[in-house]
Amino acid sequence: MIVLDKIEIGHASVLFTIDNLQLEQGEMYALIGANGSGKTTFLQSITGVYSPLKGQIVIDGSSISKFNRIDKAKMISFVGSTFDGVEYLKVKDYLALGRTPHTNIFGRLNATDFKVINDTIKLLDLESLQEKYTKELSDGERQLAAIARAIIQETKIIILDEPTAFLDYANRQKVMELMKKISTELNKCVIVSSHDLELCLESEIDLLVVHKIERKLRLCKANALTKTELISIGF
Amino acid sequence: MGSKTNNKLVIVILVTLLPIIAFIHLSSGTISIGFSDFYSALTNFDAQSTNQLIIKEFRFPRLIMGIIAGGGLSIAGLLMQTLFNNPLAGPNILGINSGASLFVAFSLMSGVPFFSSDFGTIISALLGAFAFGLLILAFSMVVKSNVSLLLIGIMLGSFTGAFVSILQAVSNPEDLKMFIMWAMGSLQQVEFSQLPIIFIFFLIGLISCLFVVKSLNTLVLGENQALMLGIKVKYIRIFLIAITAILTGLITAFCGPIAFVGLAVPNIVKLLFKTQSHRTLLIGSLLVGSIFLLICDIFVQLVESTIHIPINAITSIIGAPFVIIIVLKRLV
Amino acid sequence: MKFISVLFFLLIFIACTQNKSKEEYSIKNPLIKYAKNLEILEQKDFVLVHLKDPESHKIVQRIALLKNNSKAPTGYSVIKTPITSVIALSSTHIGMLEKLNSLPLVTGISSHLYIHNPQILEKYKQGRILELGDENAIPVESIIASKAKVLIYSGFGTSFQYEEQLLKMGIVCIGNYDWRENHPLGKAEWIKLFGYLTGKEKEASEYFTNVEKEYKRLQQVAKSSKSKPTLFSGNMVGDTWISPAGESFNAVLFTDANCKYIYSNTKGTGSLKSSFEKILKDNRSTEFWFNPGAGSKKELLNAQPTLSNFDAVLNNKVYGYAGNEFWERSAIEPHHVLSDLIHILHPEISDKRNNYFYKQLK
Repeated sequence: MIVLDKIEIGHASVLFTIDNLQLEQGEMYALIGANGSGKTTFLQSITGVYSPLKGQIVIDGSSISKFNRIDKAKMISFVGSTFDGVEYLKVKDYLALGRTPHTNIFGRLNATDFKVINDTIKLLDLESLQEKYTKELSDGERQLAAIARAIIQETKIIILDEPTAFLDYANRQKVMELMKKISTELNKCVIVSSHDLELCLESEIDLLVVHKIERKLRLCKANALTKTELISIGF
Repeated sequence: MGSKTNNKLVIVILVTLLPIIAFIHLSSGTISIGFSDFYSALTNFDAQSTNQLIIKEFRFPRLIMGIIAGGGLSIAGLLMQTLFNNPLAGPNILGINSGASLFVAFSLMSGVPFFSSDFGTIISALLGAFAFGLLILAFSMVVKSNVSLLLIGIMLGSFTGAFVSILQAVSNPEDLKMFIMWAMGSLQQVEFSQLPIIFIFFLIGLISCLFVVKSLNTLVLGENQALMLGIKVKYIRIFLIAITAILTGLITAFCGPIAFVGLAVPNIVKLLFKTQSHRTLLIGSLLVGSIFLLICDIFVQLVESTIHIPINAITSIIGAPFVIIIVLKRLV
Repeated sequence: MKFISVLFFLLIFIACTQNKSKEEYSIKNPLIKYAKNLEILEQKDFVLVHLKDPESHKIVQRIALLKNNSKAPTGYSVIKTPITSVIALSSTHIGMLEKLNSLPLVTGISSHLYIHNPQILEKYKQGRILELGDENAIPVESIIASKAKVLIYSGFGTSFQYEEQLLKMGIVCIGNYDWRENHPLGKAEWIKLFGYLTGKEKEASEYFTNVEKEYKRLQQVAKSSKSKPTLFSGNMVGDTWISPAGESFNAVLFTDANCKYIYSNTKGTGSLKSSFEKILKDNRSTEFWFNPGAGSKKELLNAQPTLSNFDAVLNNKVYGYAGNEFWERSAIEPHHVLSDLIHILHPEISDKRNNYFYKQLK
């Protein structure tokens, strides 16, 4: 799916390097590392906002820099750490925006679009929120809506940048569980960045750790490392 | 689904209201004109009848210009508010119409015949509005605060205002027509023969809007999210400025400044429809904007025989307190 | 306390004496016949000039013209005559000074753009005349520096705000409200003020008497015509049409030229503001249109194509004047304006070939 081969991540100077990693569909990865280790830059390199300093990020056989905007939007969706809601924007209208890369120039939704939206609403149990305005939701509900919008975008890759940062404990767990379920059931490659070590360990998912001494991104299988070991290499 | 039918109902009400207001607008004026004259002006126009001539040469162009100016400025305001993610944005406050005034002033004074033709005036107004729109866009990349951007817009306005008055001082002092238009705004300076060209440009602006509805809807989520949804934000921004320039430039060239319509109406429309669907908001702005400006102009005509109040004064009297309310609402 | 009461009585005393001296001279005077805003009183040692507010007709300015070193009455601004220099801010002032051969006295004007007189223009080119700009924003310091003693303004604004400042510097400002007179001869009569200022009061009076005689004669000539054509006047300024009100100077001229001015029954000495649709309604078939504010028919129709629906435009009966020359001379030559009107409105009884000011728009 995503092939990362001899890549240097950074803006002006190299933050970390990747020797050879392959991220697969149907898997969920937690990206962890100390603050300033380059997590966000890495995510932005995958979404194509920045290019890596060296090497190419290859998705499905072609370099991300070769994707046009629409193709990229059909391949990767993105959920930020907060969605504050927009005045007068209803949840169902917000969700419909997930179809943007798939609709024609006038943004008209067809039967397929409606089906995807409704299926996702059912999957995430959002029926009761549909008619609410995004400003009226709780933080947890809004993050859920943002995830739903990403699913509706129907991309193979979903990237979440610290999606649990502003949530309470129960909601954090809920989000991680949900994303895990989505990665397997909908066969997506999910990458979640987080600085919440315990949460990632509890969720039993693969970890992408920025090794603080080697300055390398390492893939650690779920349950392969203990918390102490993780702290020693990542923080 | 309830609210969607509600919104349809509101649109139906507005669509019925517009012709009623339009008829009241047509029939108000210094001379009272009977219904039969309106009927025959439509069916069997007779230039010998002074009443029918008044309908054709004054009332009708003024009505059409009211609809175009009200609707056009409101749409331009909506575009700017979404583009800059700022409820207080509008073509007037961002200084876009002053760009149009400045270029029109320059072109009329250049003495080149092309520039004093209707087409030339429109073109220079469009260029001026577009240039100032791009300038504001460039500033928006540097200043991140919404308020700072508005301040820059206001400064652009004062700067060109000063420049235009200097141009006036050195130009033909008897050309008061231009002065009145630049200073106070007027729906009455348009002639019947100019309507087709005005209408064509207005239509170009309206049709262009159809192609940005989708992008506008995603832009409310912020630029980054719009990018991730596959919107070419860079081009869309310039395209939005271009549409705003067409609408604002056209209206400024023929009516002069009409303040606050572009700012107030989109906010009223959002309150009315409670949606971010820009298809609805655009239709709503077109309708509410036209109705709003026609009502203002009916008031101007009602008192016309005793005092002449420029339309800009009326829209400002209603619009300025409205802005204060929005600001207070956001602060509290 | 004692000091304050003394001061108080002193003030009352001064106030009373001032009042007295003013009333003493406010008598009806035969020197001025038509002008309503001007009074001139000849006394033994001096000439008193009273200028009245054109609205309220109350005296707003009192000026004493002194020929020798005699003492002026209190409450009067003093001007030593004949004056040696004058700043004349309106073009009508230039016209009046020209008639008295006193143009060399002019040291300041508002703008050369409004001047027709070649003599003044030449002087301007040589840099011997101050250009002061709009009278509501004149550079006070350059006036003081110019050492002029008298400034004549027309009071187009609400009031001439520099008057008191300049008086303190020894410069007397005179509000020349000739343009607010509603009789054509009243306007021309203001030449008498210029006469007393320049020491040419005899010439001024003689000139005026001749003008009056000729004007009256032409009025009789006009009356002899059997036709009474209809006429309207004015033009669009922004969104409103400005035409002379029924009791204004223009309306009097039109009536004296024996024609039917459409708005002759309206009240007021100033101007009427109407919407264009009212003008079209009232005047579509009116025969003549005067003072359209444009130089040619093309210019007229460019500004407002709808004008082509007026009979006066269709029949080429639109007459305008040539700007600066008209402004300079029409006030002082009302008989020429009247004779133009007669020539245009009643060609059958006119004996002249050319107009002084008016020309047909082509």
